[in-house]
Amino acid sequence: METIIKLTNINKVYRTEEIETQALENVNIEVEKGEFLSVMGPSGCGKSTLLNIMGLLDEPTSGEIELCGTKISPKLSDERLAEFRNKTLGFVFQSFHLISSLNVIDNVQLPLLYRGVGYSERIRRAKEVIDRVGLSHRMKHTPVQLSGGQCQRVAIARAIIGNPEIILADEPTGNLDSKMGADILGLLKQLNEEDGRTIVMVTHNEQQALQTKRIIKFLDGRQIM
Amino acid sequence: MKILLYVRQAFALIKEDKQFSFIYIAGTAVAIASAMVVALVLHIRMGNIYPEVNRDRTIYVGSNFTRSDGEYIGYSGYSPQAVEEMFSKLECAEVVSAGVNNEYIYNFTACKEVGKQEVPVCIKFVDPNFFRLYEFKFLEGKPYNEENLKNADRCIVITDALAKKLQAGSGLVEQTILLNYLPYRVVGVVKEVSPLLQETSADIYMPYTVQDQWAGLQGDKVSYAGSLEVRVLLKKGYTREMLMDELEPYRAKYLSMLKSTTGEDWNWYIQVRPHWRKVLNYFGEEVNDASMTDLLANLSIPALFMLLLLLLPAINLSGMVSNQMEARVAEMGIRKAFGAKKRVLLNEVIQENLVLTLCGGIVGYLLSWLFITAVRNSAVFLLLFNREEDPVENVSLQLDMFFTPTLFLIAFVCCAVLNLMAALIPAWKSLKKPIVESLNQKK
Repeated sequence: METIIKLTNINKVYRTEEIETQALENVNIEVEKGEFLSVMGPSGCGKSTLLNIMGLLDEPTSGEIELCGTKISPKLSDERLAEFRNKTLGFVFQSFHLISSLNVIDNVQLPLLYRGVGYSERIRRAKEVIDRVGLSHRMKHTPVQLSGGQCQRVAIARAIIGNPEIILADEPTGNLDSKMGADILGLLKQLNEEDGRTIVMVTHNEQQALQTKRIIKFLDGRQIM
Repeated sequence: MKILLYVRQAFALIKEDKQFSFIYIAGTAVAIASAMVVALVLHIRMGNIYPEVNRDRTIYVGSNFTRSDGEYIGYSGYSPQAVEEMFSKLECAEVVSAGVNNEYIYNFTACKEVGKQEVPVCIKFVDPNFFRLYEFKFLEGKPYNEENLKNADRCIVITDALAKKLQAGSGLVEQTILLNYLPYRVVGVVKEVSPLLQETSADIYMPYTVQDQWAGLQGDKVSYAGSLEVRVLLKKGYTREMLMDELEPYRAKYLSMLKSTTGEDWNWYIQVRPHWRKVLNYFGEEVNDASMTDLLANLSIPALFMLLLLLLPAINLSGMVSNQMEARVAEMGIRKAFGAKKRVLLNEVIQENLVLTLCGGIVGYLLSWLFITAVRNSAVFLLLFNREEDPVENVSLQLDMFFTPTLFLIAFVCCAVLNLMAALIPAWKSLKKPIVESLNQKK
């Protein structure tokens, strides 16, 4: 199997004037292509930090990151990192992180906008993925007009529109009731099984984690399982 | 199409934060209105406005005398002899027009008939070429001709506004109007010129040979000095310097004649001023210095003033934009997470603000019109056009004073400058934050 995510000796230390917090300590993880991996652990154990580092949203204090066979050098410019995120990664956040002033279709097409894809192609693909998440009837709605579950579907559509190899989901069902949570997990499983997308999901929910292919657990910044 | 997305988002933001949008647009409008008032005044004084539509090619020619020891003798116009000998055959001139300066024109009243309402009027004493140099719109009739000038015929061109004041109705051509109770034949009726255009504004235009003092104003037969102000419309492609070169042999000839007549050495400067030089002279340069550098130096004064008018509100707006950007930090984080580059985001913020600024700009532009319309009769405003002592009752304004591509461009540049000053720094500061920090920022 092909390794798509490789983290080697990752450390992350948050420093303020008074204290130093070790958020991640010597983390080594390999994720195979097409895997659906759950990351579990109590609050503050470093799960989200790990996901942010995997998603190039944050820098490790030390260690190496390799995504899709490319070593991510700390010297890589902001522009190159942005390009890499745009083409390779899709994010789903607990609090959806939709842009409130944009409607559904405009939110979904964002990654393509920054990839320089033309207007008609962006709209065509946005409609396609919105249809896939079952929100064709809500395209012109803004996030405030949608339920939590619908917002998360929009977020998933946005994450997959650019056809990224990897989807990183940070507690995607954390703000949803159990039924909506199950729907969203179903959607993620479908993306993994039908499209072969690699998914790393941070979750507190053991039931949901059990439905993924592999689980790793964290405690105090260290991988314990 | 990206632009459309930014525009849609800008309007969505306006709706989302109405208070911010209102204050932003109102602040921008006031700033731009202040700057546009300066630009409008400058445009009315310098731009091509009816009937002075060739200001960029119009040259005003005067002269200065000094003795050889430098003692200043005075400013002069030209004699009819000089107009005939020096100016009528100029290669670079499309039209040469001569007229007597405004100082002789007042204390006239006009009426249709004795016993009817008398109206005080401004008169310009000009030759027929005046109506070729300036493009008057004749509503009736035509200008008087060279024959009328030569014969000092009492024929006049009047404005439609005067015709209305005299309640003369239409079909005035060939009718008679009384000026200080003397009859004058109307040969043409032109569209009124705003009193803000000092060179062409009058109620009545008549041949300069008609005025009572003319015999005494002609100068002696050999002198080039006289009371006529000469205006030259340069042919396209010709320059003021070429005109000066053409006039130089006449200057030398006249100086030599003066020396042989008086036995003294004289200096005679031919003053050749483009229209803009009559309007702008902040640095008191030599009158014959009218280079592009000189023009730019003179324009820099109102430009600095405009910048100051924009800068002060921009500082306030910058604080507001900064607060709004703080509220949008999370959004910037989302965009960066999905691959937006900093410069692209900066561009987006600037474009969104530009939409708001343009809204403010349009309102400001209209406000500046309203302001000028409101103050147009005030002494302070008339002072800007050297008309504060003239008997101007009601200043009419023309559409071309307010509505030109140049003014739109100035308004747009003002918007862009204001936008950059207000939005660039706060946007850059918020974009520098790490993505994770931005995403975790609460609105």
